[in-house]
Amino acid sequence: MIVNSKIRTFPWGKVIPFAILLIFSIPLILGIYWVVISTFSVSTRGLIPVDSAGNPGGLTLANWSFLKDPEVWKLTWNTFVLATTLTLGVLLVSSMAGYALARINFKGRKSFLGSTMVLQAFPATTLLIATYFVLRFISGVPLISIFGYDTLGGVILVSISTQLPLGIWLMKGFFDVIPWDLERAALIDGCSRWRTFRQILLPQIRPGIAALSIFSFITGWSSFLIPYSFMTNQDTAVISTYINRLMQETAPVNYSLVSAVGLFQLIPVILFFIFTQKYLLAIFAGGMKGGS
Amino acid sequence: MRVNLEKITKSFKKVEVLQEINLDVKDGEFVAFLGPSGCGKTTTLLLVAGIYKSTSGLIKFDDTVVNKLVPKDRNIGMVFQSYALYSHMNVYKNLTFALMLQKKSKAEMDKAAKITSEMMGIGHLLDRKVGMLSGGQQQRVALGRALIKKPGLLLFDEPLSNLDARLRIHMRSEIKKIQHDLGTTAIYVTHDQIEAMSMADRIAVMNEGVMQAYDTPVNIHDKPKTLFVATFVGNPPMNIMDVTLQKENGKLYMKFSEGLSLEIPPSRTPKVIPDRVKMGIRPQDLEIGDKEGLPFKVYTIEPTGRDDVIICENNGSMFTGLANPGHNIKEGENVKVSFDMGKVQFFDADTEKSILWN
Amino acid sequence: MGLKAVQESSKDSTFGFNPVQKKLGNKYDWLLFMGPAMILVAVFFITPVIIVFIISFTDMSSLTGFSNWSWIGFDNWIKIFTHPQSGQHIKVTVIYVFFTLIFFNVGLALLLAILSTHIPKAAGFAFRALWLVPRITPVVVYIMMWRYLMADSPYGIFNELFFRPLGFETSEMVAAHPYIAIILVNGFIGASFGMIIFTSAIESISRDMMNASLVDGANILQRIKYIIIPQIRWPLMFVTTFQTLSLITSFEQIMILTDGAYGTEVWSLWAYHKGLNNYFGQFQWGFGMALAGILVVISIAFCIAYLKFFKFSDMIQEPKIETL
Repeated sequence: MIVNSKIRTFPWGKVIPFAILLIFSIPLILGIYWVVISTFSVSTRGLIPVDSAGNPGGLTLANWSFLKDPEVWKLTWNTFVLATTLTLGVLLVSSMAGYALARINFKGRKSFLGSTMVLQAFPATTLLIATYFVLRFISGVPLISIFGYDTLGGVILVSISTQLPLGIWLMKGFFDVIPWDLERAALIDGCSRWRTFRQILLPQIRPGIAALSIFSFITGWSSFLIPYSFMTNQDTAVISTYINRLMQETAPVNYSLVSAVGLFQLIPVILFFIFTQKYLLAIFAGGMKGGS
Repeated sequence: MRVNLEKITKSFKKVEVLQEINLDVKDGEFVAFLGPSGCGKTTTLLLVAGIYKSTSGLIKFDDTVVNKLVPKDRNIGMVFQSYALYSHMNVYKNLTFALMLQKKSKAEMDKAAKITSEMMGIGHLLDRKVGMLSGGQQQRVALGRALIKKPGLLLFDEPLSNLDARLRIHMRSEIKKIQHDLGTTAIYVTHDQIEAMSMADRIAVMNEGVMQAYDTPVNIHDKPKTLFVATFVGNPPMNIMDVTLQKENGKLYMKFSEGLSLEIPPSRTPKVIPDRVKMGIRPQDLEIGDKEGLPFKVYTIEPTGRDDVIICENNGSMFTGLANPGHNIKEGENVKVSFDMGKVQFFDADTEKSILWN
Repeated sequence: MGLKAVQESSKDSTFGFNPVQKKLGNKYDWLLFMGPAMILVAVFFITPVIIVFIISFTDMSSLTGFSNWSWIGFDNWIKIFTHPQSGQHIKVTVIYVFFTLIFFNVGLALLLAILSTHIPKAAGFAFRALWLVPRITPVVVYIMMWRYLMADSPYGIFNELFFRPLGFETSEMVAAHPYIAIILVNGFIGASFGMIIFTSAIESISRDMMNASLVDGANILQRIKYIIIPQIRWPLMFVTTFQTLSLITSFEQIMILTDGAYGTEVWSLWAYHKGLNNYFGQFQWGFGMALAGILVVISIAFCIAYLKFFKFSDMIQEPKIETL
């Protein structure tokens, strides 16, 4: 009897949530689908690829011909440099600070921890105009002018800073759970604090390093506002600003080309995401772990 | 290496966890810190290691004050409860890490690793990752790591409590033997009195941040300086009762509220007699029978194999005794308990200090 | 046993204590670790905050340059209150923040979290992954996707797929409904943040409590009302406050989508245009800084409230290795 009733009852409890989720996800699914389709089309009408006369068909690889353009590869290289240096910088600075905040007793530790938490909520974008002044100033100082306005170095430093609060908090969280005896053992074995950090503790937080690396790399690879605001030089531009330029052109915008470049930029991110989503989910949820 | 603690105190955020600890450890001596969890024994050990900073007082190694010396400069080896092995390294690297930091040559490291690992019986495991080892093997690696740099002082923080009972007994004697043969000074923290009694030359019993006694195992057991030591050391624990001591005809008597009065032999006669006295007697030093003695009712009988533990009750106070398994005592029976008067202990009920041994 | 060998070899070594050239204390170890972070925070957070307030009291602009400016007291701040466009910017900011927050960053986030935890695990995971895509997509690509979704016929996807076949009038939706457009665009990014946090909060509600409510006969709506919502009220508060702040100050998506056209110039974008980036290349740094200064003040107030409200200082554990 029980078995029968189970078969006969339609599982509304499972289907309704599923249906609602699907309905809300429609724009995303359609949008992603369109981005892919359009890159292989002369033009699109809705989701249908069309040729230049507006008739269905018109599938083409022409949009991907930008791959032959050396400028794009230069931009890609710039983007890659930005993303990698950002990642390395964020990892280095926030793992060091995270270690100190989690593990070393010093004056001002609590206030720095508090302000790190605050800075996480503090929106760096409100400071963009003022940061412009800071970069202009740095440009005028001889030795460090490579980190000034209109340089990749400056963009990297500003990007690292905006990533720092999250990075420090995350790293601190990972250091917090390493057993104290492990570090004590290393100190007694003859390590300095620096050596303990580098040789004993860093290997213990590899998942955290992986998560932060992926996150920083994706952020750097996709970043737009900071390069857009602080880098006017076309030679050092990145893919994001290049796409934006394509979209701002006054002549009829070739959206299929824009899509293709966009997809080109998106592919590494998606690949990264597919292989590392578990870590990434941890990082998004981890943003508040220290707090509650 | 000698170790001296002079008036060491330690507070965490205003909370005092150690009160004026004074302690001297002779060269080559094996000292155990014994006490319940939270008594401050591990804190004291970490102070000696240089992991914690004392709030006041001096720590001396061979007459040199080491308070400001970082752990790596103290020439110590330490074995942790959790072993704290470097999980990303193999056994060889775990063992030789300290030597590597001292920039020893590869040949020296190989030789030391060979000698130490063979001594610890892990010579065949040098290439293994430590995560693949059993608990006992990890324990040996941890011990080897502490020994390999020939420290002047060995520190043990409950190193055996994660092992199963049989292995624990085995490692107990092994550690004791190695320490004895090498002649290295050792401090061993434990909450297990059998471990402390069987391994240590001297035991420091601690409770709530206060050093209760510091003496040889035999003296700790037979001449407990405080009520805490008397009840904490010994299993089953010592029985404690309120009594009054009275002199009559030049002889001292111990009187119970029940009216029983027993003569105290000269060997157990305190010099000064306070107003309120507590008497202590170990379960093995009393006899349960039907002749004469204090009246009790048998509450429950717990067989342990070697003896039966007899728990009796009288007006709400419990009393523990031992009996051979061949006895014919039954639960609910009325019995009489008599004492071996040469083994009783007396404490000032107010200060909880022994009036025999202070 | 190699014990004999150890005994032999130990004889020649310094077995006792031999303090030579030992480093005393380690009080300043932390500086090495904190140094880089402290420098970056000082240069790119603290200095800009100070600069914001200093320059807001000057008339510095691309006309005066960096040399011919002068102090003008509170003029810029007063100008904000008398500026004819202030009202419009406040209005759009409030509408944008309020509706994005309620409908998407909290409302939809909660809905997604609850629903995706009530369907089979794999499907729930797939949906959450899908919703994370907007957050990791380069913003320019993401906005272009929305432009196409909302474009007029014959290009626009909504128009082509839904409105035209059903006989509705088609339109360029961004221009026709600019507020809805900016709310949708930001909401679809913002929802994922709350979704992830709510999901982990819901999953950490004890199974026993859920089962007990089932035994008591609660249906799914009652469970949401009486169990789930009360149990996740802390994450709810956290997401609400955190997202309010980030919405007030974010303008990246709006800038790329409309650049403030159709009355969608929110406060932060207004400040950005005035102070750093506009078509005419004329920057009113002083006034822009005052506009940004208001946001900085709001942000700092929010941040202080955070510290008090979530009691972060109570959750900090003391290091169990001390400096000597």
